[in-house]
Amino acid sequence: MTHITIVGSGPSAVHFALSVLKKGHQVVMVDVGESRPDPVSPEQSFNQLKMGLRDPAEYFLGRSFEAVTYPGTPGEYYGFPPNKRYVFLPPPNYHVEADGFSPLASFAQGGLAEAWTGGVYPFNEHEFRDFPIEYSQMQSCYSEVAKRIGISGLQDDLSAFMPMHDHILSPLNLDEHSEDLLQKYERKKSFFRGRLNCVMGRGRLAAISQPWLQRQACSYRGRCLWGCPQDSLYTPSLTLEECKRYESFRYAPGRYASHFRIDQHGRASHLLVDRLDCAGREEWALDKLVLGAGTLSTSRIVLESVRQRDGTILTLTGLMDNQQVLVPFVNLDFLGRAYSDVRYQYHQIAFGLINDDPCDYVHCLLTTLKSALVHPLIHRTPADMRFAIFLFRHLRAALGLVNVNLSDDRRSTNYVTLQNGDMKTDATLTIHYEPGGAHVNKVRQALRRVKSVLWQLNCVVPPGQVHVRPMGAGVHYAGTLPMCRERRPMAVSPNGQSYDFRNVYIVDGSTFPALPAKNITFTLMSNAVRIAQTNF
Amino acid sequence: MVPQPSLDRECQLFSQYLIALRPSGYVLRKYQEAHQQGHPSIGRPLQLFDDILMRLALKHAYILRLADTYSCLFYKDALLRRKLVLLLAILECSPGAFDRLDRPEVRSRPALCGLLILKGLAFGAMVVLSVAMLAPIHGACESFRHRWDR
Ligand SMILES: Cc1cc2nc3c(=O)[nH]c(=O)nc-3n(C[C@H](O)[C@H](O)[C@H](O)COP(=O)(O)OP(=O)(O)OC[C@H]3O[C@@H](n4cnc5c(N)ncnc54)[C@H](O)[C@@H]3O)c2cc1C
Ligand code: SF4
Repeated sequence: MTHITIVGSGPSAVHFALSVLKKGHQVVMVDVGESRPDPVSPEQSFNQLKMGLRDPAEYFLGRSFEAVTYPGTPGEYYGFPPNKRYVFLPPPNYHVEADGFSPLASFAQGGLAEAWTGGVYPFNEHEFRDFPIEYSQMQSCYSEVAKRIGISGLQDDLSAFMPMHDHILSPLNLDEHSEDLLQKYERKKSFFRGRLNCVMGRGRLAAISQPWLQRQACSYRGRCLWGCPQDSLYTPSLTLEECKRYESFRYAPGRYASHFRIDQHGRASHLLVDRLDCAGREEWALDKLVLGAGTLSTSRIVLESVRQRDGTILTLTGLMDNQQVLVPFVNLDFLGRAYSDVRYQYHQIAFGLINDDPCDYVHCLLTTLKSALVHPLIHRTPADMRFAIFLFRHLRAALGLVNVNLSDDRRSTNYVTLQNGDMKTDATLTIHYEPGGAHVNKVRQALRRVKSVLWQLNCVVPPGQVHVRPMGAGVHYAGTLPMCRERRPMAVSPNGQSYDFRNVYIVDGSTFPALPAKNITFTLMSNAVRIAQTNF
Repeated sequence: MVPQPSLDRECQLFSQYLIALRPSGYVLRKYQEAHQQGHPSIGRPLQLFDDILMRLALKHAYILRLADTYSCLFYKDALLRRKLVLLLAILECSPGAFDRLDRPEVRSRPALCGLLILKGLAFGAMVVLSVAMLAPIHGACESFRHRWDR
């Protein structure tokens, strides 16, 4: 039995933990671990909450109205729910500065995926081309994770690009708007495939269409963005709860891992942990250390450990993220139609744009507008409020959004490093990102093709409304401590074992040597399972 | 919390303008509460033109619409617009008001097209009128501000 210390409770860490617990190992999980508030009135739908809650404005807009989105605020089409703010609360010791990158980090129980949209898309064999592992090594891990989290989906045209695995549940009920779009695709399929090089199908979602492992099936309450009140939409804190049922598991929240001490044999001997209740610093003796704190935090812990050893400040190159572009559209066939707020809120359709190089696949998630806070959409309309409200009410059922995701690769221009800080305090994590040379063209081309696809679906893109999100907003971070076959500094073996510190393993996205366009988290979880199964 | 009567009046006028409904006690209370917490913060010094737009807008619903029309195109982060958005956000969360914003209006396509053309024309006329009325004042305020800044 090995004694394993894990940092983090995000999707990577909890699936690693559950796998090693099942194998009988002893696990301590160190985590900052902000916890989520209890769900309010779980039985009510989105709009019922507005009638049923004592103070609905406080719930939807926040106690200090922080979710009101004003004109002139750059960015998104919706305000972030106040009850999810805890996901992004930084501890006092975490300092970050960024240039060309908008970093998002989570210190919550369950990590960033407590706020995710549940898109689970396995990489295919081509997308593992630059990995030192094969798709075949991942296949059973995808199935294992699917069994744990519950995935709904369908075998359709998209499956050629998203391999099928076991434990895929029947898809969720489609909303009328998504159904209309899929039907149009079906009718003109040969045109889409032949002329537009586009395939479309049902999204793969970590939301369950039938009862699964004591979780209730989705009952279409339309509150996904505000946090599914009945856990039909998977979040990693569910797996954390499962881990807690093992006697050999100890969860230690309220602790910020600063760095590990490196002994003369190059092993991590102690983990230095700051108690967030101001009880000071603890030193935890290490047998095996597993870092699953998310790419940015894991990189920071490694950098800080080296700095504390001998003052060296390293630079970890190769930071990646998916560039995302948001393309709103109006479906002309749905003008003046009714909509229902009791629907699954996130995307239910996905489409892919195929390129000559299979690794340049462009991944698009298509969400139709259902329940939402709508004031940001209304005030973005270039009309007086009254006219804008009129327009909105007639267009509502016809509105949708395509989230276009582009692949990224490791480049030396993109890095994380440290600056400032004496030896008593943690240094500031510094991030630098520059898009590659062909980036602008890649975005432009993808946009042109997405607009053509939408046009064929009888949808138009309102002028001036496309939003190229800043790098970092994709929140699929990877690449700073890549896995590779040959031994080299600041890298890990194909099994996630550090080449620099023999008893340190890394199980999150920092080890990915390439970043396909698809959402990364399903592969993060499956890779963590693979590492647990092969090393421990 | 001491309610400000002027804010209640503002809220009533704005609510009538936005959704043709008198605000409930709950909406009035939330509007007051938001202002006490510093909303709608504007992120820049308040300009003379903000003040003029607000004063004009509060005179009459029709002038409010002109001021809103002008600012939606030529003065997007006006205090007036921010206040309207704040109220809109409160209304869309409030019982009795949210469905005025959120519930879609179902119409046949031809009826919708006809209505859209009419409303579009009305909006166009509003733009012309609002520019004629407010652009000179806006221009004067700007040049006054520049001279003052120098
Ligand atoms: C709004 C949103 C939507 C998303 N939608 C999707 C989607 O649909 N599909 C998808 O695949 N991905 C999605 N993602 C991305 C997904 O959430 C991340 O890829 C994933 O959570 C990364 O997992 P991780 O385990 O590597 O790290 P994280 O989720 O970042 O978890 C890090 C964990 O480590 C802990 N930690 C960090 N630093 C320390 C420290 N120093 N000491 C102690 N503990 C520490 C934190 O408390 C946390 O528990 C979305 C993200 C967001 C924000
Ligand atoms: S629609 Fe979303 S919030 Fe509602 S039950 Fe389904 S997953 Fe949960």
